[in-house]
Amino acid sequence: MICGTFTLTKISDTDVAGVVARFKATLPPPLNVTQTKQSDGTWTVVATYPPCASNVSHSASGS
Amino acid sequence: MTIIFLRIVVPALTAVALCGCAAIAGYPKDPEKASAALEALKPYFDPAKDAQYGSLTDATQKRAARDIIVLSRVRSYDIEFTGYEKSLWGTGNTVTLGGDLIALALGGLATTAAGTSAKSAYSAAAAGIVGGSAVINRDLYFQRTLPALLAQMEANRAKVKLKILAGIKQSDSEYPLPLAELDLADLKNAGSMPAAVGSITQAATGDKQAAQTKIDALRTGTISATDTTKRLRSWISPNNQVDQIRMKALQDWMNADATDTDLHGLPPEILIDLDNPQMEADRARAISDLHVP
Repeated sequence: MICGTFTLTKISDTDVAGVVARFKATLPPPLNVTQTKQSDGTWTVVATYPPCASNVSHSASGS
Repeated sequence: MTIIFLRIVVPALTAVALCGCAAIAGYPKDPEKASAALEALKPYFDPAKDAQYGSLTDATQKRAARDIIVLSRVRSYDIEFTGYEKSLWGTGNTVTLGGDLIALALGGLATTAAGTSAKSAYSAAAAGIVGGSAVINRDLYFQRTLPALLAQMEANRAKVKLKILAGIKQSDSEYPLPLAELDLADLKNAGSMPAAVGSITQAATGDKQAAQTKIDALRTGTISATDTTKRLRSWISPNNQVDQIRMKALQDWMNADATDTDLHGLPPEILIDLDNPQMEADRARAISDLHVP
């Protein structure tokens, strides 16, 4: 199970749609995917998955 | 038949099982009698020896006195530790195996017995032993963790002994007896169960933090522009549309990968697009395994 947030930065205009689409294609899909334009003209994409279990920190999967 | 079984067979099986356990004590017989050796070394724990050392003024004599006191105490702690280790090992191996052997034997008898009442008796007895073993299996956790604890105790002791042995290679002014006694106290405690558990817990916490740091490095980063990224993007998103079958194939590959288990909890997009040496290596393997053009 994928958990927590993942962030990709310095994304160009031409790549941002593909990044968002591929995050959304995760199985199971993330709870939310946001894209934010930065002052340098690049994009930051944040994919939010369910929170990780508090007792699990050794794996991003929460397993 | 049932009474004979309970009175003769069960005690016999118990005896056989316990004899079997004695054979796996794990240590050869020691020709040296530990109690006699400890008795002989006892004077070196007498404060009078410290006073005698303190009264010496000649550097060579002082060093020799220090060395004999320190090495005698190290030897005593070694003997005591070996005895402790043997007793722990013996306890860990005896109880559970005895129960298991008896239960196996009774289970076998129940299967082969002709009469229904005998079958029931054997089964009931086997169940009783298994039930007993379930209680005993509380000890199983101890038995399973014992090798790790013993290894940690030995490692802790070896570390302190190394310090002591390095110390007595120095002059008395550099490594006087009071300083050696501090290390000797550490050696005494290094062989304890709490010290071993503490060391293991500390190591596990360190590993956990290191793993967390590694994972955090995969949660945030800049986008990659390497050839492997471009190839995976083109394969996953031909005509700028995500191919769900290929995406699933990539995610399945990640979840099954045994080389980098960090992949099990990552979105495929992180593998495809994160600028990170670990991901770069994983992308190369994915391209090869999935025959990505």
